[in-house]
Amino acid sequence: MLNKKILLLGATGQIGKELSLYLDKNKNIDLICHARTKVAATFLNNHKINCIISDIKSEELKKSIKEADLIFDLVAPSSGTLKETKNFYKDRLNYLLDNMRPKTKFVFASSMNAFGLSIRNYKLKNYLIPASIYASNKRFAEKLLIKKAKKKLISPYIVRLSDVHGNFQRVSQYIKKLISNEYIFEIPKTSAWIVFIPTIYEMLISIIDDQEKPGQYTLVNDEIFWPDLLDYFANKLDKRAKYRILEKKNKNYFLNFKEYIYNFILSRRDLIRGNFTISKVFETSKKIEYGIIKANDAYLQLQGQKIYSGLNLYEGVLPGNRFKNLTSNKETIFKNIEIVEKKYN
Amino acid sequence: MIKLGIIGLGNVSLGVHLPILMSRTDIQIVWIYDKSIAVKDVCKKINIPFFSELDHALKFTSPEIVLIATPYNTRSDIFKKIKNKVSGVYCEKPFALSSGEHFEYMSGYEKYAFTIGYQRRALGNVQILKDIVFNNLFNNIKEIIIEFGDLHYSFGTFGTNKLIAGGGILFESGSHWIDTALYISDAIKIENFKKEVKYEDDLDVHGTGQFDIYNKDNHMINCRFKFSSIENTSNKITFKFDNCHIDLYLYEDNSNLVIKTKDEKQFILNDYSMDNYPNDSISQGAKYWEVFLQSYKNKKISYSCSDDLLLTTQIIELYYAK
Repeated sequence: MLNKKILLLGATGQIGKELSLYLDKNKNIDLICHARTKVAATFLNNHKINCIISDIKSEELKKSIKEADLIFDLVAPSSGTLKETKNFYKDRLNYLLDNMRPKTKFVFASSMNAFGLSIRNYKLKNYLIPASIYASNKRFAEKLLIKKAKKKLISPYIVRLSDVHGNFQRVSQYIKKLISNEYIFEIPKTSAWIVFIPTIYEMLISIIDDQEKPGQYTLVNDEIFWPDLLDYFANKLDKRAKYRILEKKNKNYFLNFKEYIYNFILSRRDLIRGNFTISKVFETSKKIEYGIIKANDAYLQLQGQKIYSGLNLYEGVLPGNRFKNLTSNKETIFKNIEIVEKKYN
Repeated sequence: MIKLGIIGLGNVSLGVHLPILMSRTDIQIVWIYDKSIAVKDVCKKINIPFFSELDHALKFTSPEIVLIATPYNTRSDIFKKIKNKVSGVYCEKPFALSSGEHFEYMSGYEKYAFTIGYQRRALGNVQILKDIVFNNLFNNIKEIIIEFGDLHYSFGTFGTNKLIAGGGILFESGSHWIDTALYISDAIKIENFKKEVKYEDDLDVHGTGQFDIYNKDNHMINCRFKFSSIENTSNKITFKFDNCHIDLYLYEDNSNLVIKTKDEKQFILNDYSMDNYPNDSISQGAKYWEVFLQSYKNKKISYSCSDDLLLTTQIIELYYAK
């Protein structure tokens, strides 16, 4: 691989900034980042990273689009109605793919939320219905890309990113802050649905080196489990991560059904109480049960134990295809982060 | 393991005390007594012996501590029955209408073993404010203004009957507000009590007045109050200092302390790591029980059983004096 051109769109976002540091380090890559304003490009300029500051449809950027061997598009609209965001993707993808050379590669940054995950859809699988406007838009853009890329003879790569971690990622900083404040994390026993920036970097190199076939992928560091992630961050802070692993309940269909009915009743309790007479003893005992849970929590907090259950969102392993040639070993991934951290901190 | 008996399983016991006590590993609830037979089925469901006669409950087993959470008019009889049979008492407020009654109920108990349910002392905001005053952060308190109540104040099930409730808005709710102000200001003495009270059906529905608080350094603080069910109030206690004042919203869960300067600049105060914890009825109750049980076990006075509890009763007595 020599002098391959990568155009990074959305380079001024959280992922883009940190990723550009990795790509810029690679002598075989001619990296061009795009920013819409000079202010947004401050970070890139400070790190002397090649950056075009312009509108998406500027002549200067159009030239870079034509010359690029690979475009990685990290841009997502921050607001708008379903129709507005769909129009955004339609306009954007049409423009980009119309101006790309055939047989080049387009990598679209989608999200694990496109699987249709939500508080209710907590099992990690591909749901038929998208659970949010964000998921709906991502699915729309994915489909559009495949259709358009086929016409233009461009190789499409759809990458459903899990939660992205890295030195400059806010989610990583937040977890570090919770560790510093001695929070106890409630975590599932599964691998963490996270991916570190070096893996995204490695993915782009692997794609540009023709090591990966076009298609739809899930990008996740499967070998990193939640304790690994927390221990890694805690180690950097010279702290000990406190966590308790929540065992997955071994539920059969009957128990699942029972839980489903219970949750269904609970979510519609006002409706039920308004239409049926419920035993006073039943209602009172449920009230006491709830109070005991709250009191237990209160005592934990009073002992100075602060619980964070925000990581315990899903059950299972993220679905989807994996790239074939990426480093899966967690130690190597952690080492790669250290290298960049030393260079730029 | 401390054996504990519950006298009265009404709303407060069910919603606050029972869950807290059941969640503790150092407490065994040996029985529940309530006049209402309807409670029996609940007790059966949670596996705690139920009695509709207090004598029978005490005969069944004598607990170390009792929680008294029955209406005011039942207290005299209860205290007579439990005398010399239990060593600790947690009595819900409203507690007593006079100092005489206060002493009578407490007689025979060690100070560390007797508490009144002024749980709001345990609130995170109250503890922070107490620390501010103790550490003289803004110099001495100049004045305290207590305002509680509004047009929608509810006297509750028993509250509309003087014979059962003992008093109106001050006795049932205002006592919390008075107690908090006295506790934060480190009061040891009160003087110059003045009041103007409106009664309806023998229950106070509106009362205004003032008194002087003297703290341990003999510093005098003027305290004005308004408790009303016939007009809206600000529902806060304002502690005035030289250059600022601090507003405490005593009945608002998860509220923050607000420091206001003379030119009305506002600073929200919260304890970053603990979010002003405890900050709701269960957590403040859990903390208050913890403080009281530690006092009981270690035979040491704490804010749950200190002498200043009497000052609140004295205010109540002066307020209702005809």
